[in-house]
Amino acid sequence: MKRLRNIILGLAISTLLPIAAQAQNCADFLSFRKAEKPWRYNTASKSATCFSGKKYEFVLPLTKGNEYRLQFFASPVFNNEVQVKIVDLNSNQTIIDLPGKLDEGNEPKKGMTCLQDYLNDKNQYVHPFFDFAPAQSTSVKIMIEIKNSVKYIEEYTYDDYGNMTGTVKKEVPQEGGPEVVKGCFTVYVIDKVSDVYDFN
Amino acid sequence: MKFNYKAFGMVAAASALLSLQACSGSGSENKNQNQGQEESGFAQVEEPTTFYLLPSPEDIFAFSAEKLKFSSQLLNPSENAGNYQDSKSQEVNFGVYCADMAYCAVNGQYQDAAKYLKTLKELSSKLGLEAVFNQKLSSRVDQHIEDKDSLKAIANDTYIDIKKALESQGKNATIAQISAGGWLECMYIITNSIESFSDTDLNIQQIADEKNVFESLMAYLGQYKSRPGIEETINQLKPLEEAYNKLSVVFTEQTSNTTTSDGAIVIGDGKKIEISEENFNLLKKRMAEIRTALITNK
Repeated sequence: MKRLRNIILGLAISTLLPIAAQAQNCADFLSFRKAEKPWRYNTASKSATCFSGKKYEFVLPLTKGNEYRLQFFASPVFNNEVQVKIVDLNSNQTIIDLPGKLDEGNEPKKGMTCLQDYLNDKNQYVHPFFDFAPAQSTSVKIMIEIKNSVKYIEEYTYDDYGNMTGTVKKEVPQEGGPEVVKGCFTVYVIDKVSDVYDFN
Repeated sequence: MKFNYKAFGMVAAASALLSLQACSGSGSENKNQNQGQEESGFAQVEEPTTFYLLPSPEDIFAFSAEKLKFSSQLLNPSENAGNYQDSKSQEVNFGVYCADMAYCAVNGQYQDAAKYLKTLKELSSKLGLEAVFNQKLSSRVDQHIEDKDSLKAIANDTYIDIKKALESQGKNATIAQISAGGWLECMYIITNSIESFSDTDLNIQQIADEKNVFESLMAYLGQYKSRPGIEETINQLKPLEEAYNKLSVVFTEQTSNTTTSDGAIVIGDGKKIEISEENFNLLKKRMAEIRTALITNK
């Protein structure tokens, strides 16, 4: 009987957990983020429900006299497969165009990715951030593209004599098109009064 | 205690069924995006693909209010709250009162800030926001009511909680209405606190620069124009759109620096929104007219 009880308990826990995870709201993500002085949390921050294989835009007005720090976070389900582009709407120039992560084996450095942590000079992991100082008030358009979810399998490779030489990752074709996954993408904004007010 | 296996088993089975339903929503079984969305109900929870990120009243006042003289005459009397019977006027004026509370908080007007917080609490039940105005918030206000920085933080945190609560309920149209009311009240207060026009007045330049925020606000409202009351708000704001369109955008000299000394990327260069005295007066007049219509619910 004790065994049966454990089975039932295990079943209940394993089935209730996904429900709890599903019930979590993207907006809750921002509750865990705190700005350190002199930075101030900007209420324009947004954590939105997004789907793989889709493009999204976030329009953020920036005021002259303030300095802004932008950071991006994506649910693990997206596997950092997100391309982020930031366009200044005053000049229509692309300021940032970065992948979420680098290919395996490449160590990211500052300014190389928008989601993958990198090691700084003090050997500490830092989440990528982008600071902007508007010379004039403007808006920026943050354009994101969440790549299709791709599944891989590892296959052994052999030489001409049939000896195993290693493994290779192979994409698994998905019947009916790529799997659509749902998660949160967060634009986290903090600001402070700019030290440099007049740029000219 | 006797363990009821039968009842527990039924709960576990029900949980399993619910879980399977939830998992289909997480996309684990969906193959075709459109088909999948319809089948799993994704379309019901999916937000638009463009998000307009708007500042809170406290963010707007952080730039200007401390440089302006406080006047309680500029506030929407809390007694008006009882006049808002329809959902549109309740939502828009909830935004108006959020701005009034933020204005009082940044100016250290403790009693007025507490009064507006109470008004917001009264209106909150009509918007499904009772949970935000809980005992914890009341205690925090009681403890820190006479500390200006804490009061500002309370005003801002309350706004964040309101937005979060509405987002989790999928009430984005309500956020748009609150944002409209809050933004307009901020602009009304700032324009009416400026005593005389000057080309070099930073607060006047701020009014011009808010054109960017206003455009985002109109686009945000436009996403929900099929919802009750939104189109009415858009139409009420149209005269302001016309007035903002009269502002000229001038090309400015490029700055020599592409980054600041602390490494921030310099952006927004090359274009500046200019405002003449005539255009400032027109904006001020239209803001006052629309604000009167909103708070008197006419």
